[in-house]
Amino acid sequence: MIRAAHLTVTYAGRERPTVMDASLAVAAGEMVLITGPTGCGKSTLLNCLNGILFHESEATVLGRVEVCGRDVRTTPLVDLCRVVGSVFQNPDSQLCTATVESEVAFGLENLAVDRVTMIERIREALDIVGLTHLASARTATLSGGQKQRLAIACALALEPEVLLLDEPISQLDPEGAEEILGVIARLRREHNRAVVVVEHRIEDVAALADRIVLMDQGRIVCDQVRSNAFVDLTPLQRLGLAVPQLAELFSRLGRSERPLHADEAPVLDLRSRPAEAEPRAGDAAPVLARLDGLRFRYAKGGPEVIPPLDMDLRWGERVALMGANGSGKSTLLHLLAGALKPVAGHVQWRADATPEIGLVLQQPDLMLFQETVRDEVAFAPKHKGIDRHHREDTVDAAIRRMGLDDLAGDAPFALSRGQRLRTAVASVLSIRPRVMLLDEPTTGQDRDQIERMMDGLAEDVDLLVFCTHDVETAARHANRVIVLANGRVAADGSPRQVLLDEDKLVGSRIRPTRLQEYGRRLGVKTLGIEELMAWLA
Amino acid sequence: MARVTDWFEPGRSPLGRLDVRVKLALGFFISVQVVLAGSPPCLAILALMGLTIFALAWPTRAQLGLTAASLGLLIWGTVLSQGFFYSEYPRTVLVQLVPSNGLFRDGLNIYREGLRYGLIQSLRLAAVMLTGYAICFTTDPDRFLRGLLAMRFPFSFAFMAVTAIRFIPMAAHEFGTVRTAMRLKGYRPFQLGLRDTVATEIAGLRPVLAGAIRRSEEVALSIVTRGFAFGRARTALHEERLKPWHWGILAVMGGMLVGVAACKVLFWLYLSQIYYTSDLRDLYNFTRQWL
Repeated sequence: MIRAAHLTVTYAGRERPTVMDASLAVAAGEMVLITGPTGCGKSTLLNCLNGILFHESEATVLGRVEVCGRDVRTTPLVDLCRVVGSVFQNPDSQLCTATVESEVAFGLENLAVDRVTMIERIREALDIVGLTHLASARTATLSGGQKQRLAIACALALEPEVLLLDEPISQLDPEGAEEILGVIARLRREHNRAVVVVEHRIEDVAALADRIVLMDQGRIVCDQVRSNAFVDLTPLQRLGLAVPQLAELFSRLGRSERPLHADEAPVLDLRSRPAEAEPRAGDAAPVLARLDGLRFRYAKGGPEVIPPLDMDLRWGERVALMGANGSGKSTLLHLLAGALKPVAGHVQWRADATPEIGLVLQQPDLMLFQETVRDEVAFAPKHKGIDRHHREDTVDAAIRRMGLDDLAGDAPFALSRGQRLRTAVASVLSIRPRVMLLDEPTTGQDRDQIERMMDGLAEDVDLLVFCTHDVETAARHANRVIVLANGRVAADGSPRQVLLDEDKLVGSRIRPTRLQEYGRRLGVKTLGIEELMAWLA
Repeated sequence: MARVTDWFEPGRSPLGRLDVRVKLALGFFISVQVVLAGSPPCLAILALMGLTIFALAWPTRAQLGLTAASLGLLIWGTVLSQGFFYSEYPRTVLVQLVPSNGLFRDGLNIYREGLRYGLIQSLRLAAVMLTGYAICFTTDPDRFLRGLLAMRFPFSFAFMAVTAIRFIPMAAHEFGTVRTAMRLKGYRPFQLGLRDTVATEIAGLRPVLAGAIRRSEEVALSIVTRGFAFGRARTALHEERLKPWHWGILAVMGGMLVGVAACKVLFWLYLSQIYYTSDLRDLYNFTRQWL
């Protein structure tokens, strides 16, 4: 279905190729996962397969790509789109019309398909992705997962033989990701299409893939069928990628199996039974902030996003705020930061004065507006009135803490996604905040970037509060987890107390990790590999 | 929070159910009429028409708020600027802010006639603004695109224009987020002087522009991989069709426009002593008094 041979891509103005001598073959009905660290060239490779780089780019592309027997270099894009469908990362910016139906019709209209056939194809495509009931809905009202499913429907309506998906779940919450994975699974099961997915959330996608392709610095360094892909985990670990938890567990236990799902994993005997969950860390620590009857709504007469909320936040706490989209997590962070004013109640800080608070927004790119990383990091101290001498020290310290020493003179916009996030964090760290608030810092980041950032923060602040959908991140970096539902506290306690208690998570749309699911099969509640290893024979 | 996406509910209001071309014609009709009209009663009638059209859009509370704020700013700005800079005679000083000096020969004054003239001018602008807002509030980008296509606009041009409109709310939201980020980082306008303020305000546009460029690239990628190409023949799932009563509205508007224009031309010919006939004395009187 796809035959790419010796592809080398060099973007205009760059000396080093982004993709080097890459060859790839994908058969009909096969699903291939291409993964690798940020900037390794996986999206570039995908844009060779759909013809974009041959026809709509100034990049130099050497090598040959054939899709369904057509030479991609010489076949016009308008003809290629009948055999190759593409879905991109950002669910918002790939939709260009106002309603679901007109969005799916867009490609068909471009190909001058007659109206009767068009209606039939729209119906079929929406049926595959499960959006038939939303045919007349407005695209702006869809959730992220629904938008991405719609983007897949748009591609499918053109009846392509090959579907290419570029990080389709990287910007989605677990619920949205689940929807997309369900659609991909259905495409594999019921439609004999070749599917190529570029994604760094390996654990989520690998279970559906027939083959895993690993890229590093433009080269394909590993191309294995799934059963062999995780035999040696060293390449994934070396590249800072998130290793599937169960594969890592079995590898560390010295076993040959590499399960990705709990139901694929053999049931092992427990050597010892776990002790009861420990009480929440930090309970004895003094209160740093007291939320007293805090209430908030965005518009007068509108629904209360935060109904009366009472809560204590204590010194030394690392709080993970979790919950479904719209549960009030971001709003609460903004209220804590003073970026929003409550309609009633207040946040009472128990320090001598309100401590310096740093908030990193969900879209860190919108926090970067200076010409260099150094200027960006120096902006807040300058405007907060920190004197020049101290300012230099704090700026240097923040740059060092986020590992940006070599990039201090670079333009923030020219950096990679992970580097941009760390620059945004450094731009807040430079005021030496005692309280740090992070709004979904893990979205779109690979594991290595998340670890580097969270490790850099843990030591420096009295209170860290971060929103996340990722149980693994919460378990690793928080000592308290608060689950919000409709602005109210649905669960509050240590990561073990909250994340291992299924009753508390009902309705919160928090998805347990594969390790938790496996632990459940063994009859234990666990969050960490080390812990489970200690119990296993 | 009232969202921008709540704004487009085409079928909700009487104006929303109109064909896009009729709405655009309404906008054109009001715009031309306010240029042709000169008398305060006529401008007041046009402003009232604008208000009626706006009311037929069944605006939401958020839309009412936005319109009231814009209208307030518009009237205040127009009236005050005309009050200050009115240069016709006779003029009556209402308030003297600065006595006559080297810089202001007559002093800096607010003139009564200027305020009145500004109020009349603001009627002109209000009529257009209210109609424009009403059209925007009741026309979603898809129908706007279909309307432009039905008016024989080239697809590529119409699509680009409509896509740009569609992304305005996103850019506005991003701009708001950037302002929040700047505020949280301690920025307050003029705190560190004019130079820093100007530099920071300009810098604040950078992420919004970068976002717009990134988004336009992503949209371009998305549409190109779905067969979009300039100048190619294409089909349409939906087409705009004018109903008989739409034609009726267009005919009435066209008739009124031609009638007013004819009155103005004949009156101008009479004033310029190019053409006069006593048979049209009533028309001259009507034009002088009402138009």
